[in-house]
Amino acid sequence: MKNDMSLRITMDILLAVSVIFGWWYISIPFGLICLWMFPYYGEFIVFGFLYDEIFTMGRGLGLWSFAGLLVTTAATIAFSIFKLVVRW
Amino acid sequence: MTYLRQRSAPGRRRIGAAAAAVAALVLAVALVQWRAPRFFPAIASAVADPFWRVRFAFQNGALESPDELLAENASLKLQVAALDGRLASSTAALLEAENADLLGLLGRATTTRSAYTAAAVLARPPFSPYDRLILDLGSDDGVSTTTLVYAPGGALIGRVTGALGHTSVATLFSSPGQSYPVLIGPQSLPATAVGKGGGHYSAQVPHGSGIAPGDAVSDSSLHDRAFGTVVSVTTDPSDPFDSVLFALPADPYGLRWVLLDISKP
Repeated sequence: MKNDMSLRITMDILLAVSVIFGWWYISIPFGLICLWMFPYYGEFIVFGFLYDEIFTMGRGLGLWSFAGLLVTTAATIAFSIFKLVVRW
Repeated sequence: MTYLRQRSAPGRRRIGAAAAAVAALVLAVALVQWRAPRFFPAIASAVADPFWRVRFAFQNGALESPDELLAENASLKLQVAALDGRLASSTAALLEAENADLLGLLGRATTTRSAYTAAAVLARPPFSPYDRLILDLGSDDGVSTTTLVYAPGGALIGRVTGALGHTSVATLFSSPGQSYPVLIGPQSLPATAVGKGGGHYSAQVPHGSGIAPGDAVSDSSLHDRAFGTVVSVTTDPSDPFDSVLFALPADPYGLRWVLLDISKP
């Protein structure tokens, strides 16, 4: 349990750094791995929101301004359903 | 002996409470975003800013020795002096001076003083999405959402779309959905440049207008600043318009510095 939490915090830090530097091609695969590994990985949605706030300031491009939030939310919902089906 | 299951009801209550908490959180975030749209960007930028500046310092030789930096400085000064000399005698400089003289004669000399300020690009495409640049100057430095952004060399590339205290976001005109009036080719055909992403634009010009790859595109201001270069022209005989694809004169993926026009009346 303790190891799981340490691993989760480590992955969170790595994800946060990749989001800050805008390395979305690292953030997305990392996030998907975390969604698979950890239960209720809501941090991914928070990181998607953070991504939009940093790089678009949440405005100016219509729906594209929320691309990070939409992608991470969709991935979280899809993975939750997928995990329920596979691990039943 | 038979016992009734007692865990389902508290479990359901727990899930209900968690769902209510999440819904309340989402509602609170949406409310803050609506009433104070700069609140979250300000926090996010404040967290990210030190990371960006450290990376920028490393990328720009913070780890080099003072001797190396002094040598590089001397070399760059020599290059600037040489380029200044070449520029002073070039056709472009003569045309620029003539343009300024003609504008003065026609009573259209600029009444505003352009103050170009160099801004460091802290994050840029492809690392940042949507053809946007994160700059190290903000509203405390006089940057506002009317500030125009130029590439080194003077090509107009975008506009500041959000300014916080010490950082700002510039949206390139090549960003999808952005548009800007331009003049294309030697005949200065008026058109609207529509951003396609990746530093490219498209525009529609009348069929048979004689636009060819390599033609210059300028902004539609009196100063006739560079805006791009035509890359290709697509012609369809059944279409009364030709599609012109043109690119920024500067590579947006390699920009480390840009110039901001902080004009003062």
